[in-house]
Formats: sequence, structure tokens, C-alpha cells
Amino acid sequence: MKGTKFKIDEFESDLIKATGLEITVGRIVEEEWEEILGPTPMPSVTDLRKWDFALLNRYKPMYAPLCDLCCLCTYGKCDLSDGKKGACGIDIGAQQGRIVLLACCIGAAAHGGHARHIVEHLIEEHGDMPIDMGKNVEVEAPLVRLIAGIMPKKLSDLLEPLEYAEGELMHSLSATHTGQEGYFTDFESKALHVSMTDQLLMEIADVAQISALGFPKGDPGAPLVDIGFGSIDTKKPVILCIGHNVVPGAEVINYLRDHDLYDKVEVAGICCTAHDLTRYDKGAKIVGPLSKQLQFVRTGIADVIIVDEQCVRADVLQEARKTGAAVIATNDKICLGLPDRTKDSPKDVIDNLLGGAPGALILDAEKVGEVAVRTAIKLSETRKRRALNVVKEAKKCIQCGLCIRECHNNLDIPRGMEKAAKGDLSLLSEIYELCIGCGRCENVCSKEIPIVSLLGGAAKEITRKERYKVRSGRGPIQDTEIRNVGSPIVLGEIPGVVAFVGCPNYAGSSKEIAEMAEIFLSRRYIVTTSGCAAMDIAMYKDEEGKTLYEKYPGNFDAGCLSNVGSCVSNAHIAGAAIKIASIFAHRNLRGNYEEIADYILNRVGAVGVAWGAMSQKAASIATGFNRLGVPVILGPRGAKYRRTYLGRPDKSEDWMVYNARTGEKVQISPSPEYLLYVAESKEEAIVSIAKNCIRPNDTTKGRQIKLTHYIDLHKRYFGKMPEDIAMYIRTEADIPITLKAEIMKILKAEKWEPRITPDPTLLERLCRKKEVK
Amino acid sequence: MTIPWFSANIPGPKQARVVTPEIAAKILSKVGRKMMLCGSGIKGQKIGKEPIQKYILDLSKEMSVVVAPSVLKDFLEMGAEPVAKGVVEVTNLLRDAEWRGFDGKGNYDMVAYLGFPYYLESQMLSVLKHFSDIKTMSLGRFYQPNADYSFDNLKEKEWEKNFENLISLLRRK
Ligand code: SF4
Ligand code: SF4
Ligand code: SF4
Repeated sequence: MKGTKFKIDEFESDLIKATGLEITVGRIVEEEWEEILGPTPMPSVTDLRKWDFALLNRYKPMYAPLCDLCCLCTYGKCDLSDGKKGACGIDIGAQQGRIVLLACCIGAAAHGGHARHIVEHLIEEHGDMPIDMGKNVEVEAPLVRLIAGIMPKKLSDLLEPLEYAEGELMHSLSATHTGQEGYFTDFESKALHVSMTDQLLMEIADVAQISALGFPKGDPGAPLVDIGFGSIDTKKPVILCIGHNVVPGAEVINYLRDHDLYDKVEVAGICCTAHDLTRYDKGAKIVGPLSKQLQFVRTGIADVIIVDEQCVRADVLQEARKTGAAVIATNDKICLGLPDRTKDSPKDVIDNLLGGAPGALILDAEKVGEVAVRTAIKLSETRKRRALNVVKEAKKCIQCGLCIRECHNNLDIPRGMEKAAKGDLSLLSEIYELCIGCGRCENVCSKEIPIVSLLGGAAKEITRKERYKVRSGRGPIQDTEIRNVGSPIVLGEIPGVVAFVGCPNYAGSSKEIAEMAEIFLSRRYIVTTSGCAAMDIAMYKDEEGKTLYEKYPGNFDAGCLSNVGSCVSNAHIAGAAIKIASIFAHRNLRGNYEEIADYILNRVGAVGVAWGAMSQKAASIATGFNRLGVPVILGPRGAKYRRTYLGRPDKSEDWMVYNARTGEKVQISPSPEYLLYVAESKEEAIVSIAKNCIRPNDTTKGRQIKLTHYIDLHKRYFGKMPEDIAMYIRTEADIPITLKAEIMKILKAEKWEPRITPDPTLLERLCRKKEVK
Repeated sequence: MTIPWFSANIPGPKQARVVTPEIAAKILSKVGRKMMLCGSGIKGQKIGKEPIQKYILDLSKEMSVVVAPSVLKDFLEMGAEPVAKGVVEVTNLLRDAEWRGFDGKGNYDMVAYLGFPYYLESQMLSVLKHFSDIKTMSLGRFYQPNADYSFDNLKEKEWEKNFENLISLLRRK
């Protein structure tokens, strides 16, 4: 019963008369927070269904099944092609919604498991600490405030929204069971719902770790830290941490500090654990994003590999075996079949590992710290790093071509091998640049050539020099920054906020993401980033040898590049959009999701870009942003998520909103055009980003600025004026001055007529005056 | 049964029929309203010594041609101005039976895809396979099971020959 809450709008008996009474079983809701409680604190699965349907009505899901079959129950397999239904009655559309919901549930569960572990662990280790996001951050947890209607003060206050989200996750997941939900829009509504709670869970995890572990607190000047293979000092023992939960890695650093070993051992990370290690200690190194995992493990540089949770290769133990590195599993999500040594003495475990045991499961972070350090020091003295003879290995190739068929990027490995066999490693080295390190090519190789290692070997000279700077994750955006940029964003004078997030499953070069970021930085958009994308942005230098982090300040401001941190820090990007509504526009946050999402959709020109999105977490992150009114653009691989949310600019009836001033329904420009789009190429994405920053609420000056960028980028990449330009001109004052003559000609040819700029909303209840019929 | 180029990309029992250029030309010439979608992969692609764009422009006399915006410039430089739109956007329009087409004359009976990343094309073909009555054809180098008709997995030279052959057969009709 704890945490069960009910509201009574009006109650009258012989003894009591009450209005607006709110009771939570287990605790009375403290009324320290004066903000009025909105209509949906801790919304249930169906509470925001109407909002979802308003979105889905405009942005209809387009399904691209990856498989025509369903094999989820023993009625199956069922073939759902040609309009056939499964034995349970489900059709292919609903089945896609179901799989999307499943993916979002998995994503949310990953963040939820992380959040649950870290909050409980931090309370246990550090006590019930106050939540502290830094001096300029009063709205400490915008998503917790918005969704749960709670203002958390201390770590234990995060437990209630955590429990709420876990409950919603269970309800949402249960809807995917055979014989439950049957219609695609309701699967989508649940996907949007569980992905909203995913944002909440990410925020809970990051707020807790920022408060308790001393991470940068909204600091735009967070330190520049080292990233890249070349930044690792291979002369020292090396401990590599892979995953997303910083706790064991932090204990490694604690042990080193406490035992005067800090400078003697290298601590490096891959994926988000790496970000968080540098937030904990700026001396930690980042090897790189997920795509570097197999490559780096294969180099044998790491003496000990610590895995925590999420994005860890399932074959890490076998791979480590090849190099003689010891693996320590530290989390209940990833035990790898290893013996549980949690209760054993560190000495016994270390002896066992030094004696050749492949690894150990240790579910005690402090013990992990000690075992990892002492094992790494010893192992580094005895372990030999084997060099690979690339030419000799390449000579084994029989040109069967099986590898290229397995390769996501169709990389011409056979030709690379042919050249390498003759001593020319240039093509293999080029392939390395485009390789996402999946290892699929090796699995099919007729001659069992370790292709991934060969690519790494061929590119050795390049990787040795891979040493860059990335700004350590700053965490939240300060309230003061929001005050400065709120108005220019909402009025459109800052042309947009572009968030580069997600995984490194790129279709082309990983450099593309930095190139895109720089285009928008140089045009004075606000650029923000997180996760693996933030790392790839760092792994690119300009002619002067500077990375974008060295070139552009870390503020949340026009022409600045802010790295918020790891995957869970994505919550701060959502939080910034929410804070614009609350701090700048003074909209109530508390339990007021629909109104805030409506505000963001219509006013905050923000676009998310997940150029290499791979995981189920990326699915739930994107879908969570979508419910909040933020469009997301995916790279071409994103088509495999099976679902996009696409508007139809050619259907004017889809682009009607209420004018809150009058209650009238009025026509708007088709903006944002999509909620979830897949772009085939970098060029298409760039132009699409600029276009999708347009919002119905832009002032004429703001619209001019946004259109100037859209037109300029369209001309630059596609060679001509966009054909849909007339749709985005409301009055002549929207036309960029330098293009007036050219655009007027188009408007005339299209018999364009001016339209009003409304106070736009999709919510009739927000209209101040009802339409007079 | 032909194995998809990415061998794991087996969607189910319903898979494309492998076609030769002759059969493809026959099918295409019988269809009423047809469209060819060209992706970013045509950039720099040559058929013999000629840029593929020249062949595509030839084909545009037989059917509507829509190109990925990222390759539009190449066509503009040749003095042509085909419709340019992202493949996801076009496929979304195509799945709507009520859509009036780029020329206002109604939706299409058949769509051919060329020059897209394999998996992206596969997914777009899947949209039309499941959510439209439009017939689809894949004209790329690799077998696409989600199409109705597809070229086989071909070597670069074989494919060039196939494509050239198809165009000349269509032009002869
Ligand atoms: S869940 Fe439905 S569609 Fe899937 S296998 Fe079972 S009966 Fe068939
Ligand atoms: S490891 Fe690299 S080369 Fe091999 S299949 Fe994956 S992406 Fe292609
Ligand atoms: S699969 Fe192995 S043997 Fe075959 S071409 Fe590729 S590298 Fe050579």
C-alpha cells in the first residue's frame, strides 16, 4: 500500500467538508511546495492516452516489419504477411506496435535497474544525502517534478517516483503478453508512456550519482579529459571498465587513492561508465564508444576488465581469455556464468585469478576495487601482449567473400585482405575507420581469420595517435542558463537546440556526427550531447588540431557545445526543455505533463539526433522525447526499429491547432514535420534538423532566422531552394530579407495567402476564450 | 531459394521472385503507373564509362523518377530536375492508397528501388509489402526478399550488364 495515492476533489459528510484533499497511504504529501498540483501526478498507463492520440493523429506510425513472423507463444510461429492474423488474432501492424513497446520496456528496464541499484547503493554507502545539483540549479529534478509531482530533497525521496516507474513498467510490459493489447495505437500509447517513465528513471539515476559522488553539477567548465586509444598509458597496469554503472569503477579509483597507487595504474572506460568515471575523477581515461569495445579488448592492453551493466559484449569473457586479461563481473544483470566470489577474501580471489581463472563475480563494489587493482598490478608483470602478423594472417584469405555479406557496412574485407597479403595495409586501415566493431565478419570467415584484430593491427599507427579531448559530463543545465536562452529559443531567435545522442551504430564514418555538430555550432544553434555520440564528437580534430570541445564553450547557449554526460544524463536534455516551459514561461510543472509537452511541441525548437542508435534504450529514449514533443532523427540503421512517426505536410487538415487566445482552430506550418524520422544520409539529416527546429510559435524574426538556415543548408547540400518553402511563410515578415524577391516569386506562383501566428496548442482546455460559433 | 545478401535477412515464407533484366522489363512495361526511387548509393556509380545518372534520366521518359535529396545536385548539373525526397518520406506517401502522386494523377502501381543501403531498402520494401497494394522491384546488386521482384545477388560487372540491359529493353518498348 505504501505510496498509494488518491485525490478527492470534493468531499462532504456530517463531520468534514473538504476540497482538494490528497492523501498518500504511508505518508502525507508534504505541502512545502506551493505549486498547484496538475491533473496527472504519477499518470497511469491511460491517463495521457488522449495526448498520445493527438500526437499519433498527426504523426502516424509507419511500420516496417523486420520479420513477417511472430514466435512469441506456442500457437506460433504465425505468418502475418498478406493481411493474415496470428492465432491470437493480432495483425502485422499491432504486432509491430507490440515489438516497439517491448523494446521500449526493455530500454526503460535497463535504466530502471540501473537507477534502483545506484539509489539504494548510494543511500547505503553515503547515507540519505541531500539532493544537490549545484548552486544555479533550483529545479533539481524537472522530470520528477513534472511526472511524479514531487520535489525531491534527499536521496530517499527518489524511491517513490522510482517505485511508480517500476509499476508502470510492469503494466506496460504486461500488455505485450499474448491476448492482451490488440490495437497499434494503444501499443504506441503504452510505448510512449513507458518511455516517459524511462526519462524519469534516467533522471533519478543521474540526480542520485551527481549528488552523492561529487560529479560536476551543471558546470559548463567541467574539465576536458582524455579520450582515445592513444591516451592510455600502456606502460602501466590497465583496468578497463565497460558498461554504464560507475559504482565498481569508482571503487577502483577510491582504492588507488587510499593506497597511494593513483599514478601507478591506468583506469579507463568504454561506453557510459567511461563518461561517469571522468565525472568522478578527471584523471580517468575514456577509450571510446561502444564500437571500440571488441577492438580494444583484442589489443590486450587491459590487464583486468570490469563489466557492470548494459552494452557489454556477451562474449567479453571469451575475448578476454584470448589476451589473458581477467574479467570481474560486478552486477546481477551480467554474471557471465562466473563463480560468485563476493564473500571470499580478496586474497583468495586474486590468487585464483592469477592462477588462470578467467574471472569472478563480485557483487561488492569495494571488494571489486581491491581485487581489480591488485590483480592488474600482478598480471601486468607477467602477461605478454602478443603482436599480430597482419600480412601472414591475411595470406590465409581464400577470397570466399562470406565476410562482406555479414558486414553491416558492406566493407570490402576480401579486397583489403588481398592487398594486405601483398604488404599493403592501407585498405584494411581504411576499413577500420568505418568498422563498428561488431565481429560478425569473423564468425563466418572460412579460414577463421581474426578479421577485427587484423583491422586494428593495420590501423595501429592511427590508433596509437588517437588522443583527443572531451569535456566531462556536466550534468544538468543551470536555471540561470535557461533564463538567458529561454526567450530567444521560444521566439526563435536562437535557431534551435540540437542534441546529438545515442550509440555508434553508424552507416558511414563516425566522423559524420562531429561534422554535423560543427555545422550547427558554427551557425550558433545550441548543441548538446551525451553518451557514445559525445565521445565520437570528440574524436575529430580541425586543421589546428583542436576538437570541438576545445573550440566551443561548454555552456547551454548559442554556439556552445554542452556534454551532459552518460546515457542517463539524457534526462537533463529533456529537463532543459521542461525548464524552458517552467522557468522562462512560468508554466506549472507539478504533475502537469500534457501542458508542458504541448508547450515544448509548439514552442521549443529542439531536435534530437541519434545517428547511430542501436539499443532498446535508444528506442525508449527517442520515444520518451517524442511524447515530450521533441522530434528525433535517426541514422539509416534506425529503420530497423520498425517504426517511424511521420507527419504529412501535404495534408493541411493534419496541421490545425487551437489558438489559445481565441479558441479558434487555425492552420499552422507543418512543424515539426516528424516526431521520428530516418534520414538516409548525413546531408538529409542536416537539412531535416534545420527544418524541424521550426515551431508554430516562432516570431517573424525567429522564423526568418530559422528559414535562412533551412534554405541555406538546402541550397548547399541539395543545390536548390526547398520546394515546401511557402508552407513555412505565415506573413511576408517571415521572409528572410535577402531572399525576399526570390521567395515572393514562389509565393505568387503558389497563390500563397497570409496566415495568422496563433498562440498554438493542441489542448482545447488551455484556450482562454472558447470559439464563438 | 535465393539467400538474401545479408543472410539473416529472411523475413518469412513470402519472398521476392528473382528476375532477369528481360523479365523485369516485361513486368515494368506492363504496369501502368510506375516510379523509380534512387538512393544516395548512386553517387559516383558508373555503368561502363557513363555515369548512372544518364541512364536514370533515360528511364525517366518511361516512369517517374524520384531521387534522394543528397544526389539531386548531380542531376541539376546535368540540366535535369527530378523530384527529390527522402526515401522514408516517399515510402510513407506511397503506403497511402489515397495519395495523388507527385503529378496529381494518383498513387503508383509499381515502385522500383535502386541505390539505397541494403537494410534501409529492405525496410522500405517491407512497408509496402505489408501496408499497400503496390508491387515493388529491387534493382540493386543484392537480392531483396521483401520486394515482389528482385535482381539476384550479383557481381559488380554482372549487375552493370543487367542494369544496362534493362534500360535498353525498356527504351525499346
Ligand atoms: S503471440 Fe500471437 S502471433 Fe505471436 S506466435 Fe502467439 S499466436 Fe502467433
Ligand atoms: S567487425 Fe567491422 S568489418 Fe567486421 S562485420 Fe562488423 S563492421 Fe564489418
Ligand atoms: S570470410 Fe575470411 S577467407 Fe573469406 S574473404 Fe573474408 S577474410 Fe577472406
